[in-house]
Amino acid sequence: MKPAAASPHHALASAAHAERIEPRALDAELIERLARGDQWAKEALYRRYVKLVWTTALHMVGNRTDAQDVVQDTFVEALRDLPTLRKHAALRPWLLRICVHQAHRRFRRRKLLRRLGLDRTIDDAPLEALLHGGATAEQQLELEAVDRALQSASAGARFAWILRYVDGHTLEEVADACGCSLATAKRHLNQAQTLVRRAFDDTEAPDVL
Amino acid sequence: MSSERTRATRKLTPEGGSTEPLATLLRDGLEEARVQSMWQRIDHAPARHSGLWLALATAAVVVLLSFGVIRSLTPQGSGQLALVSGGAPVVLSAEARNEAPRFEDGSQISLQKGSRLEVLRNDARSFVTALRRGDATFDVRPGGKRHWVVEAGELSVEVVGTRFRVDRQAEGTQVSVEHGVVLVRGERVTGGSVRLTAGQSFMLQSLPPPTASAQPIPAAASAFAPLQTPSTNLAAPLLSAAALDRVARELAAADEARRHADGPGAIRHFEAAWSGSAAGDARRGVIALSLARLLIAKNPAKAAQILRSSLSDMPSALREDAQARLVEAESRAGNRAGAQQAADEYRRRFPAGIRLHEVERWFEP
Repeated sequence: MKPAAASPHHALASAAHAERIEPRALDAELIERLARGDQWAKEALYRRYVKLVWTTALHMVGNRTDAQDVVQDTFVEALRDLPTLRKHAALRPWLLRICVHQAHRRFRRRKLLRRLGLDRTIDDAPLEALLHGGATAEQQLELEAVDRALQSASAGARFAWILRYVDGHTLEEVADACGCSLATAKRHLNQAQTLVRRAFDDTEAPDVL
Repeated sequence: MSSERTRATRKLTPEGGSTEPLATLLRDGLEEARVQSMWQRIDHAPARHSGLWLALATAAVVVLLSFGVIRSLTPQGSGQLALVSGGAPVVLSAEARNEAPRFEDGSQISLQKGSRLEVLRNDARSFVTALRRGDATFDVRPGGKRHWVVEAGELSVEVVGTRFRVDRQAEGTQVSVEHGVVLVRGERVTGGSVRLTAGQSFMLQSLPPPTASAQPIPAAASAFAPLQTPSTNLAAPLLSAAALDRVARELAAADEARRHADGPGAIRHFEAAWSGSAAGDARRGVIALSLARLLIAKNPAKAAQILRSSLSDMPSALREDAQARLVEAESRAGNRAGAQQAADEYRRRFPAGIRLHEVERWFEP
């Protein structure tokens, strides 16, 4: 038995690339395989999109437990309803739509429980907590301000802002994911943007009046 | 407003003109363990129903539960992965020549001469084996309903549907993948696990043998009179051939009893095998888990005692299952403190474990 020529750790895909289980297979091929009852395709599909769904959910709900539930519910629903998806190319936006819907449900539920005093947990993944190690203190402060602003925004406004400016989706994609018209998406974005701007103004006010 | 603040603001906020999404500054924190754990739950998620269907499903669950209580005492061979030649394998070995047994689902294991592979778990959802020695190539049919795991010393190889080879020799263990994907886990693997795709291989060198004298191990708390009470780590290799044979004989008899739906007979033989196996014997954990499953409904206190005293011998692939069973056994036995301790230990070891819901069902703080 010969040892591997080079250290495998350098050559191997990291967990961050776990979704790329079979990069050559197209969505359409995976969906067809799934329709034929190939269990492998199910996991391949999951791994291809889990990062997208996870990051979207995490940014929206702001805590890992809820994000995990959103990912699970999203894929359970998607795998169940996949046969109804007629256009294979629409898989990604379709998944995003389900994810946003599930995140919305979780978010509203958590908010209601907190309002009733039935949930005293603290969100463990606000945006500033997700910053890379190399981020500056200024960036940290500003993300805190963004988080604060988005907490006071409506769920629709919060989600639209996150999809647009945190995850980088186009305006059309935001409207599609939120299941609303372009005009409504713009209105939500404006609402959230006003709050974010105000939060920055507050943060930047002089200490001594 | 400081100029630094202004620069940072421009970088973060959309009105600063930045076209780069904030996500580029953020970590996703999506580690492989979480990916796996979420997948387990998705893959095992029950279908959702409502209204009338929910009522029908509830009625069906009641019937199934009643059936399950009876069935739990008499584990059946159904659901097990069987060989084309017939019967579910317990041990696959190639003593005199190369062997290549084929399974009814189309999978095949090719064993080089001198190899020995033991089946630790075989049911409708998983097929867990331990390569004790030698060189085995696994050709797992993609899309199968079972989760394949191969334990090879310190390494644990999880299969997604692939052809791969595990070669366990004195100098180390090598895993090579021909096609598909496998996940190799191990305490000495950097980051805990490594993902191998087609053409990649992974080698874990064996540690040098310890130079110090063998360390004493705590005597296992036994529910039965042991055949021998080992006092050192060398106990397992020093066990007499007769004792080793006896364990193997009892296991074969237990397996035979299970095949004939003879629950009490299987319990008797497993008890004898468990009593006869020394701490450090690789089979001890598997025997304990099998025995506990049979005892848990009628004699949960004994099941808990057996599980607790064998946890250290449990193969890593079964550790989570055993810990969850321990919570159930302690809870059934009315030992709240024991159940709490076992549940705490489960949460500590498997914070996103696939049996977390069961654990919480059996023990609510």
